[in-house]
Amino acid sequence: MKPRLWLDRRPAVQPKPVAGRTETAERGLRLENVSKSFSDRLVLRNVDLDVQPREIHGLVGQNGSGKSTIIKILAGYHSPDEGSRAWMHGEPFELGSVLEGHRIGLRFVHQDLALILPMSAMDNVAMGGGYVRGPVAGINWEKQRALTQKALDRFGVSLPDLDAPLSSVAPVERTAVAIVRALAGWEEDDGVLVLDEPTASLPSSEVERLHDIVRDVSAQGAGVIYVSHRLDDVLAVAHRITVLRDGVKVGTFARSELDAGQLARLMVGRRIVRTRRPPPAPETRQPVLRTEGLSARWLRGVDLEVYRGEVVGIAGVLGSGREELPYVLASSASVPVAGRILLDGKELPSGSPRNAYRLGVAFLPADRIREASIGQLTMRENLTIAGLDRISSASVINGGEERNVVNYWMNRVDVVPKEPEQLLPTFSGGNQQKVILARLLSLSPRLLVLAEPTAGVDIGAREALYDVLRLEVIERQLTVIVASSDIQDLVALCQRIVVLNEGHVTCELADSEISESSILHAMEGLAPSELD
Amino acid sequence: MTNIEPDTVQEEAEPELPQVVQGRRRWTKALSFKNIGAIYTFIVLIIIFSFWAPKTFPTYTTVAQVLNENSITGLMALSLIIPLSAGVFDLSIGYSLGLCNVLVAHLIVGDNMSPLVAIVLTLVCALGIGLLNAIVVVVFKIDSLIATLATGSLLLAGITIVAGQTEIVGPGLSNGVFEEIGNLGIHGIDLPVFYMLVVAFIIWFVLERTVGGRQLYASGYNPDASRLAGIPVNRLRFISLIVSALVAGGIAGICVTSQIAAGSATVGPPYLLNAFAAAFLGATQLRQGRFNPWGTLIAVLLLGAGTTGLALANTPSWAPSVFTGVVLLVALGITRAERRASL
Repeated sequence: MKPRLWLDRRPAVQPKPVAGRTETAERGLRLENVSKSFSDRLVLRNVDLDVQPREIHGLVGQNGSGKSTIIKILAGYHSPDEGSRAWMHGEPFELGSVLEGHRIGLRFVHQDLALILPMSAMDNVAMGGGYVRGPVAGINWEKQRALTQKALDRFGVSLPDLDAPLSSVAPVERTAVAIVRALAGWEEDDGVLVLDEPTASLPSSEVERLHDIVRDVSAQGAGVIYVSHRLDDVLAVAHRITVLRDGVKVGTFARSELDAGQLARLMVGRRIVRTRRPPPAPETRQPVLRTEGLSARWLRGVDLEVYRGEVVGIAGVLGSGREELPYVLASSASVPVAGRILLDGKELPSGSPRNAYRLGVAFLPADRIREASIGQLTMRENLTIAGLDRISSASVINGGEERNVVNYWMNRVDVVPKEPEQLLPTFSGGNQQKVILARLLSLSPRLLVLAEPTAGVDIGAREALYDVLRLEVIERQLTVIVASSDIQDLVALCQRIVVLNEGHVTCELADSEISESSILHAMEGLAPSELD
Repeated sequence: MTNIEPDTVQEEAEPELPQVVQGRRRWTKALSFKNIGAIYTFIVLIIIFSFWAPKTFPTYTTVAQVLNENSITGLMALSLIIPLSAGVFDLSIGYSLGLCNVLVAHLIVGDNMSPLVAIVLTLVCALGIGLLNAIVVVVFKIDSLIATLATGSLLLAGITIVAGQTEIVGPGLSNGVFEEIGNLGIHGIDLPVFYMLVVAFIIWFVLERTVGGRQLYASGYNPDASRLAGIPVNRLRFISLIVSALVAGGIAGICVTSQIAAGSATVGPPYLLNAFAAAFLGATQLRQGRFNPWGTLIAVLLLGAGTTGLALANTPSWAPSVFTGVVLLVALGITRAERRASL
């Protein structure tokens, strides 16, 4: 069942043009010459794309590459520029219309899934395909249940309870429900399903299950456009991959032609350098942070010591306590915490982010949009919001000093564009993250705690974020704790990695032992001796 | 090897745009319809009414009248700015005004208190209302929309207990110092107009220039992110509800009592809707969707001038309501459309 046919741009046998219509035998989606400009700014230039039935087509590119623009054009949110053309199964259709796209069989699962979490899987699926009506009025729940079950079964998804609210099921199951909902009422199975960053909010342990579901969808006849910023993710599932850069298509490649390094280079256009800093000199071994028996919802007694100038990584699978630990360390956990946190020997009271900030702990939460960025404030305001005390006297903000702070940090972390008065969401994900990081760094914290520092950040910007952090560590002896589900973050930044398993520290990797495979092994609970 | 080049990263701010270009850009933005659409509408309105009612509308008397008649609505709308910025609703302000109105009237007329003592006790009462709202919303964590609706109902009970169905009138209200609070004027413009401007200035200063103001906006826009950035969200919300009760009940309540020289159960509640309308219309002006005092005052005066103009032009009595409704819908509609277009 290994797909080969569509590696060529056209079917092997070109059908003869029939009068008035060409390529009647063409199947799947084809875009030609798609461009898009926003008030004189060309964001997408003459892009071609074709997606065959049964194909999983990866679409990758950094933020600003035009990746999301092309998805939004397909979804009908944007109208493309004059001259852009599109066909589905050889029949031309108009881009930029939600209804037209739906009619010809385009279906979308957006990054946020757009599910109604307090409602059940049945209700959510019915939002896509409608309810089964009863004989007089109301809903025939028996048939509705059977229908939902059938739809889920098709993709090998089993939910223990169809009536349970989706907020209580695993993230991958929510994604599955969103896919099933998108495909509801789609009998022919020959349209194209667009998955926009489906793994962005999935723990890495569940990514494989999602891949299976996606393969099932394509095996049943549909084409899939798979958008992701995780390269391993795309490489694992896609048959062909289209790379966009700066609004232009770099090319479409068969999966077999590429490895992760090549793909990364195609996206960035330059070679990525991976570096780590050596651990700090031994004479500075003065613990900044010490914890004793930290326990919370997932943690089961964690003792840590972190030294000045050190970058310590926290690794672990979902449920190991890896997500919880940074929140606990920053006094920001929403559950009761037992045990002690000592910062420079002083005890940090739990449950008060404000106190943690006072004592010098700066915290980057995992979910930027919900927990860190304040969307209706400008970049300047977002940058200074946590450190206003430092630029004010008698609680009156000193505007000149604020501008100085913003200018300094804007340049130091290299935010692009340098427009402090623009609202934060007008910046790309990577630049927003730089602003949030600058917010924290401007406090000159004793300890910087990062949770998922590169979530939703593309490769190029990711390197830039690493550079910013390295610079602070080198020049200012900053102490950093990085908890991340992205092993690249840990490899790139950390001098020591603490691995959590079921709430306990089960393993520590020293600088020389750190590699992607060693971390993965330790996370899965394998002994180092089993490493090859 | 590291690809950090500290020398380049450490460089000071690169040269900015020339001051002139920056300044010009700022002015075009500041004067755009999107930013101050209400002022343009205001000007058009003045021209229309000047032709429609040429003898009565374009006069100093009308200007003074519009200002005087809308000063209480202005104060009420201003009282909402702080809680709305912090992301909480205060639906009880109409009843706060009502309770303070009948209370100060009762204390002066019924209990023969000196105006000063009565005013102090009324301010204490307003503070109490604010504390009640703040405790219910912040400590007991009841949604502010429901909570202040409920406390409003309690305040209404208080109004009925103090005033009953009768109107409280007496010489203590219509003479002497107390009468002057709301009616003394400079060139026909009454004192409450100046109170309104002072309150607006203070709110503007707090929101734009102080740490608390910036944190207030942040708390309103994203409470979770604000809490995690070390902002005392709950404390700010607590204070904001006390401010709204003090401004609505204390300042506006005492002024309105002095203006009408009476305490009555019917005074307070009608102000609620107009105040909200002005606060939301004001948020579309000057500060791109942020609640702000000057935009709010522009909105109050726009709605007030339209209403007065329609009355002077002898339109039917339903016309002002239609006017208010249409202006609100159009203003919010335009803002929404522009925001969508700019995405």
